[in-house]
Amino acid sequence: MENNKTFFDNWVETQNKMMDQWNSTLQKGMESARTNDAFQAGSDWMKQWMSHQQEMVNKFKEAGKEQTEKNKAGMNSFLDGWMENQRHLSDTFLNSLKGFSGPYMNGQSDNYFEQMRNAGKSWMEAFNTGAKNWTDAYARPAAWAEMAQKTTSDTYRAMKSGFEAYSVMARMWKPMMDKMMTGEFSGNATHQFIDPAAFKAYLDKLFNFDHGTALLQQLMGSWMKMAAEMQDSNRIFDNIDAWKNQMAAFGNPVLELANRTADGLRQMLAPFTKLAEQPKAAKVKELVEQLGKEYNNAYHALTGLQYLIYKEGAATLDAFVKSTANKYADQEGYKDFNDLYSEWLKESGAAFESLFHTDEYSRLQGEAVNAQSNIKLATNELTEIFMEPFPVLLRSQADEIYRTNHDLKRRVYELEKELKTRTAKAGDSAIADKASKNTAAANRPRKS
Amino acid sequence: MMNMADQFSNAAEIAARMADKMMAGYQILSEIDEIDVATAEKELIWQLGRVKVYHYISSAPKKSQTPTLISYALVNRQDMMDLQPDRSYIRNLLNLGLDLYIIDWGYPTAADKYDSLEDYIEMYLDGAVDAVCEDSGQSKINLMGICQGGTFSVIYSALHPEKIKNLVTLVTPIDFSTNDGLLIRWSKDMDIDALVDANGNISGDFLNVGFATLKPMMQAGKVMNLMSIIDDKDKLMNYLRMEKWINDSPDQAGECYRQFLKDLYQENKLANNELKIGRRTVNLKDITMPVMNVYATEDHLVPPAATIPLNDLIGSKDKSLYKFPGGHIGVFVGGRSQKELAPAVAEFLISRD
Repeated sequence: MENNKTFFDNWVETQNKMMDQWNSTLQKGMESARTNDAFQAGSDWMKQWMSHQQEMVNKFKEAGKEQTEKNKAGMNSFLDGWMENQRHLSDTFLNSLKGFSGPYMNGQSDNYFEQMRNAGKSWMEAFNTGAKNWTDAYARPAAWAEMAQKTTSDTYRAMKSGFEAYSVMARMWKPMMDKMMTGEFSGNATHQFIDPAAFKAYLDKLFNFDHGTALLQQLMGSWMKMAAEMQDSNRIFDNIDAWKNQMAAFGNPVLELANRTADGLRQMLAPFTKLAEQPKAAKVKELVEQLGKEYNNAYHALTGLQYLIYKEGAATLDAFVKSTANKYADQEGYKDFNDLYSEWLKESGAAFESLFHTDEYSRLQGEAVNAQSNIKLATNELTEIFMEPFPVLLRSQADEIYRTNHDLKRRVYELEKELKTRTAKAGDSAIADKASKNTAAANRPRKS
Repeated sequence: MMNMADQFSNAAEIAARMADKMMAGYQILSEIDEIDVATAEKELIWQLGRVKVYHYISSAPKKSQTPTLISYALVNRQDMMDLQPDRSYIRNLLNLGLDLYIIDWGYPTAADKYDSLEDYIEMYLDGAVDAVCEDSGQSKINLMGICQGGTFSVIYSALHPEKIKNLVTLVTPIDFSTNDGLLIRWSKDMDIDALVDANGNISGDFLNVGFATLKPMMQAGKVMNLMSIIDDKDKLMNYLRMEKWINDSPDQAGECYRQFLKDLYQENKLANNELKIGRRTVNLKDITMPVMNVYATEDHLVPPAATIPLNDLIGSKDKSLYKFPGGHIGVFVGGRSQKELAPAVAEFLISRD
């Protein structure tokens, strides 16, 4: 039977299946956590979920091959669908997150500090990985990932990336140019010849969306990893009935684990701290929820930015194809594909710059950056809470030292300056000279 | 016009040729050990923490007794002005007879996050000016500010006009009411407090991503150009020097960034004579020394609309506006810069020595 589904249909179908699978697995995992089964099962359900994901991605790729050849997908419907699907994924994630942060219990024991420390380490690593993944992906997209390491290797990486983008564009143009050559091309039918997936891949490479488009999956992955690691770490508690009984009653295993880890660490270090503070469980819960909301804000903003770029790119491409077709119809044209590509870069560059000047683009970009800042603020605060019981320098304490040093540096500079001015005014040239020399000597770098 | 059939039947051949270039490029690039920039000879004369002042050593006869201190931006490094011997704004000015000093703002670390705009103006820049006065034996100096360093120079000149003989500003943003520049446009939608509170210092990588986005297709075009010069060692080295400079991006001290972005980019306080440095309010009318203001017609980082208004805002009677046909970077490395701009700047300063 002929497959009449478009590229977009297949893509959305796959994404939705993946999301359904994720939700279903998540629910299963949470249920298992409540009934203790998952402690024995370890992270099998996570592995199963990953396996399902892979299977569906492979199927999508197969279906995509057919559709690429048929090129039946309209560019706009593809992009609209992409946007809608991203929103759906983001909203679903937020709902799942709310499921995580349900009611929790604040019970604690005093005989599992070591285990708690291990569990806490796992949790924090998973947690920080999630935050770092997002931050790095936004602040340092693929081509910039190792920038400032070594100019030559960066240059090669840029060259490779640029070549890939060029190649995608060349492949994308070929079927259309074939039609132009045989006179079968209609300037109004760009979408029939341009493979939207290839064009999206091209823009993804140019704008480093290779990482950006994977953000949602990274976020889902980080939360899944967090859940899985929680379960892995729980294995060591198999023989602690009391602990398991307590956990069975929790509606929010991840959050509770965090709370209990913090409590456990505090108790472990109680002899070394001047006093045992009350657990900041409520604050942790608030911050974790805030983090989820900011992730969601960031994804909406980033998805919106991508959508604008895809739409602008598609419109520009359409106009460019028409003008190219007209050139060939008038027996003009480009010297070679490099020539055409240069012109495309020029025209699309101007179009994107116009887009960047719009209020909508600026607003979305601001929202993305602001969400990233808020994620980092919440992460910083959480880290501070978790590290508080340890005999280590906290960020806030380091900041106090930095501020004191800064104030002292400024004060010393002002006093030196004042001394020079006063001695000069007093007309005591000898003192002024000495002060001047002392200051100059102090400021002149010493040879080691 | 090439036959279309030829064009695309040759597509594979073109791709293969480019792949060959890439392989060759990999080999050539892996054999390069060092990329030298900023090689003009200079001597360290002052240091306060990470901030340093250098004095350039030149054998050319001095035509100006007044020393000139160059204040570059905090973004990227001053090496741009001496990228390579045959494209060096610095060497050009030295050869034309100027006595040059330059500030190296260094690389702020987390410990420097509280360095404020006031610190940069009243401690680092003021200290640098005093050091140059002391080193040269002059009571006044010329101040030459580049981009953000130009904004610093304008602020300083308004607060301490008695120390500045002549002021030269190059591609310097002053009036941020325009939305011509994307950086100015975008900053208005950002929560700067959250950004600084979350990060402390603002990373150079963060800024670089923003700069790269301003001209989204430029990188692709650059790569195409690179492909064509990859086996030409001299051209490749030129390319790499520029890349090295672009990627050498110090972080921004948090508190300075906060005030610079909020007070200037978002609220345009400098142009409105409302900017506070410590307890003092900066009044641009207090700038009365001769001023040469250089702007670049194609500047996408600091648009002419942000630069040109300076001349109407200051109190100087002797002021000139220099129009440079080109972009932000071309002011320092382009052929026209070497042939026309550097001589014009030198002439302005020497004639007012």
